[in-house]
Amino acid sequence: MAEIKVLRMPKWGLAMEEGVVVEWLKAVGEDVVEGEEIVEIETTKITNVLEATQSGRLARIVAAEGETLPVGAVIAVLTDGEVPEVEIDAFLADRPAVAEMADEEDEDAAPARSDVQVGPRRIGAATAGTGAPIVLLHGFSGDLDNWMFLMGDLRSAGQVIAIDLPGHGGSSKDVGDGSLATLAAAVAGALDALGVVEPAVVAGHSLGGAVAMRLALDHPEKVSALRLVSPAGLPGDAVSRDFLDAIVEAQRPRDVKAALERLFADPSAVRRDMVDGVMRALRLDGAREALALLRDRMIAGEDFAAIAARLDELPPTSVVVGGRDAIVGRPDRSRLPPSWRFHEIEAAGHMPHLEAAPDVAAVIRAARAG
Amino acid sequence: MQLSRDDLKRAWRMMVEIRLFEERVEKEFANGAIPGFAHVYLGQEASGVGICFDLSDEDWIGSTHRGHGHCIAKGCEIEGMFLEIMGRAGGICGGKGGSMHIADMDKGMLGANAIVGGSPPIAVGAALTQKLRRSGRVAVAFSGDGASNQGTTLEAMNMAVVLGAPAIFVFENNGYGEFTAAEYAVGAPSLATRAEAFGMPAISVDGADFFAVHAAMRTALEHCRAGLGPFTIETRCSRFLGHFVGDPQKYRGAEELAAARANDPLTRFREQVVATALLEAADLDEIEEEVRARVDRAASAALAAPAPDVATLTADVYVAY
Amino acid sequence: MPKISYRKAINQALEQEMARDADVILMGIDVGGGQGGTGKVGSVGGVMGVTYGLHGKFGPDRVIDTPISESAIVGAAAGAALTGLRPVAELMFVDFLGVCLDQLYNQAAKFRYMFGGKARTPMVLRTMGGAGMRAGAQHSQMLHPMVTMIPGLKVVMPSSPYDAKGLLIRAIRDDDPVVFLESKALYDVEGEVPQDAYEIPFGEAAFLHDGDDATVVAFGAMVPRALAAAKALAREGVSVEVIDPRTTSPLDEEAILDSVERTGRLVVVDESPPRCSLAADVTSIVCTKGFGFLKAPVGQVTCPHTPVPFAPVLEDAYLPSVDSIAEAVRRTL
Repeated sequence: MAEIKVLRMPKWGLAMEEGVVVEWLKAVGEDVVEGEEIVEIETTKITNVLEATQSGRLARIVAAEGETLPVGAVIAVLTDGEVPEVEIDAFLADRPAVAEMADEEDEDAAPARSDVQVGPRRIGAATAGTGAPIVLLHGFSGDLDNWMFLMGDLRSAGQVIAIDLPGHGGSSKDVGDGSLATLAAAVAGALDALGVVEPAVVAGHSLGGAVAMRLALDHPEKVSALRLVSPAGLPGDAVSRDFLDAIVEAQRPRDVKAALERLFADPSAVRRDMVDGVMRALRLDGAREALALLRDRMIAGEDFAAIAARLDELPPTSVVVGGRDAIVGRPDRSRLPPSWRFHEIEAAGHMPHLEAAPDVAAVIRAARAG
Repeated sequence: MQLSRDDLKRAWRMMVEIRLFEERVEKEFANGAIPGFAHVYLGQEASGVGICFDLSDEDWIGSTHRGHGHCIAKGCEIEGMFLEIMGRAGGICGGKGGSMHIADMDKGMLGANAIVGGSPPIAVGAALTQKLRRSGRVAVAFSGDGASNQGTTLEAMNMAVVLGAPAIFVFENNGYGEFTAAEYAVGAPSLATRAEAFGMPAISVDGADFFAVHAAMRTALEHCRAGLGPFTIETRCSRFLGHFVGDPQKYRGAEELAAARANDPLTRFREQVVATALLEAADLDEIEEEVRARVDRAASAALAAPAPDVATLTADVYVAY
Repeated sequence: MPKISYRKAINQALEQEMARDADVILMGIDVGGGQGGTGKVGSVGGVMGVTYGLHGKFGPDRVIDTPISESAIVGAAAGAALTGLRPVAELMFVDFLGVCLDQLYNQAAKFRYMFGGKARTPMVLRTMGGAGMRAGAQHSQMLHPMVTMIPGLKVVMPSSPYDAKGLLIRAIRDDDPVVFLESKALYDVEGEVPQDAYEIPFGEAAFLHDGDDATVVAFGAMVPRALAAAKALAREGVSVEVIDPRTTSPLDEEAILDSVERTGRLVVVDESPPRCSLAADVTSIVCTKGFGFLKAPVGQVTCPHTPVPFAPVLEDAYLPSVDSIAEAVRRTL
């Protein structure tokens, strides 16, 4: 029997309210396989490609290129087999043009803020889904919202816990001595406060990758596997001092924009809201001082060296790097433990979890499966 | 309270410094060395000195357009004042203020003020700071009889009473607001009764008598430091010159002008201290000569000083365009 | 992130700064309220409730209820600022500028310059303005052009809860006198505001809507209207960049000029009669420094050259509307 399915404007991250259809990558009449790129969507934060959430034939494009639509709006219709146009019309007429996303199955699974107090610090956190824990740690000057494209995907694999590192996002700006050990202790404390008892798959991006490794060394009982996305601190890496300085010293939105553009293989991915988000974070009392301290520790390099000396002690680890990463470069694989898996995403820059989210999600899920 | 010989010498030095400074201002204004206009304090020296005599650098005063005497009494350096008044580099306000805006935060001098009634609200704020910090310090608002009719002054007096601020309102009633007599322009029978109507104590004293002014100020300071709120002192003065240097004063009779000169606060001070053998005439003369030499040096140095650098035009203010 | 109102954002900024720095005090008419009455002292928090709760937290020494004496309020704030405090004085309505202007523009604004840079005057004059509340001609004006033209003052016009909090904190920490002009039409508008303290620098415009066809510069309560117009125009295929300068002094000329260089078209929306308005000022800047960028005459959407009327139909006609803004943009195309 022929089936009619709708494709809706996605909700990427907590703040997204609407998106612009930039370009359809499939034409009407073409077959689409679940996971295949189908349309490019631009939000005020980032431009990204939407992958088909189900397979079928692209029967109708509802949202024209250039159109701005709210989250949940129908943008296309997929069918299995031939369906007459009148049936599609009738099908659409029966449905609200804009689904209330919160009213649908997403409600329970939508990431929820669950900030916790860890000693003197507030630690920002967002959780979604249930089951075995998957912990996500963002990079320098980022926040937990950097994982927005993965949260939906990963929540079916377990309880996803995205954490704001001290000095970032919703967390206190007190970073103590700025060491990886301090950051890792804060993450450990947050997991305790959130009642996470099982060992977690810990995915860390950039600085967050180094924090994840430090966490595994200092609290081995908390980490079952590591997934390092463009990580800082591995042998052969070199964190771009220019980038760190550019963020710490940025005065105006355009300074931030220029810095953020270096993170992506395609600089046009950076949108106004992403820049605003970083500006807002930098304006918080103590934020710039915290980032400066973290920068100085990274430049000094001793914390990284301490990890590099103990890679053999880490739990099963996979590394994802972008082929066009201009921030940390690429680790020297010959100096990594042979058991580590290595994934390179050729077209990505320093932000594969934003630039190639499904690939990164797959690597993280694989840890859970394995 | 009996003043020591050193105190008396200090009071004399301050009054003489004002007198000689202002006489030099009068002269240099006539010579064309002082741009704009100048309001001098000649004849009112005992008032400013009596009020400021017991104040420290941590006590504050706000002044008037006729402010040179208050500045000197509060400790501003005459060298910087001459430079400022003559529009030369190194002036106490960098050439941005001039005669009517001399200020020195380090000396507790909140500025001469060219707006009649400008200082009283500001002094209330300075007094509020002292109240909040429990510093035991006070703020003085100097005003003339003219400013006693300004709404700002009346608002400030009421607010000082309401907030219990240690503010002392000093009205130097020299009989004229510009060219109009207080007799005509002040509706109340006296400035002291007007202050009392606001709910604060007030004393009216002979402003040419340093000792009377000083005694009134002691009373005011005790009142404020006891946390009893503001106080008002009216000092009845005469100005030797007109509103500004060069004012022909057709509105004042010859007898009045002669009487003003005859009631010279410096002469009265000299006679009192010498008559009571507190100081010798020679002590006073010696101080006067020291001051005269200093005034001469300061004025000459100012006359020889260069103009301020034009590049400073846009310094010390946020400039948008 | 929590959503709070513009009113609450201002309250939160005051509370956090007062908690951080004991030199920060509030003063004004009924900022606590109820002094000397037979009921509860501190029960008012300003005529719009903006300072509600602060009297209870910080007491009458730091939340100072004053007589209705605007000159004394502004002057005392200036004097307290000169002598070491960081007062935030409240002028209930900006319309009352007339009864205290000397203390603001002749005194507070000039001290630093007039005293050769040796004085600082870290005071904030919080006040509210704007039409739309049926408050009549003496409680509805926006006098930002008057204060913007005074050297020595900085002038802030927050258009959102986020900006209100960050700009007020910046204002309190600034060593110059700042006029913080709140839009009373925005007090109940809610938006995301970080719980923690943050500063938004002066002279840095916010870009609130992306577009390439025209630049719309709007101030204060006109910003939400400009955004609504931009959304309406987007449906017609016209993309508009909306810029909120946030502060009229300093003014982020660079942001405006950069945008107009890209779009070639400019509309300025200003809740003010047209003469000597910010609309006139921004137009003048673009014409003198970016004339070559312009592909069409600059559009200005202002109020008429009248006092603010009372009757609702008249007052609504007085204010720039979403339609009039959109129409002004269309005329530039």
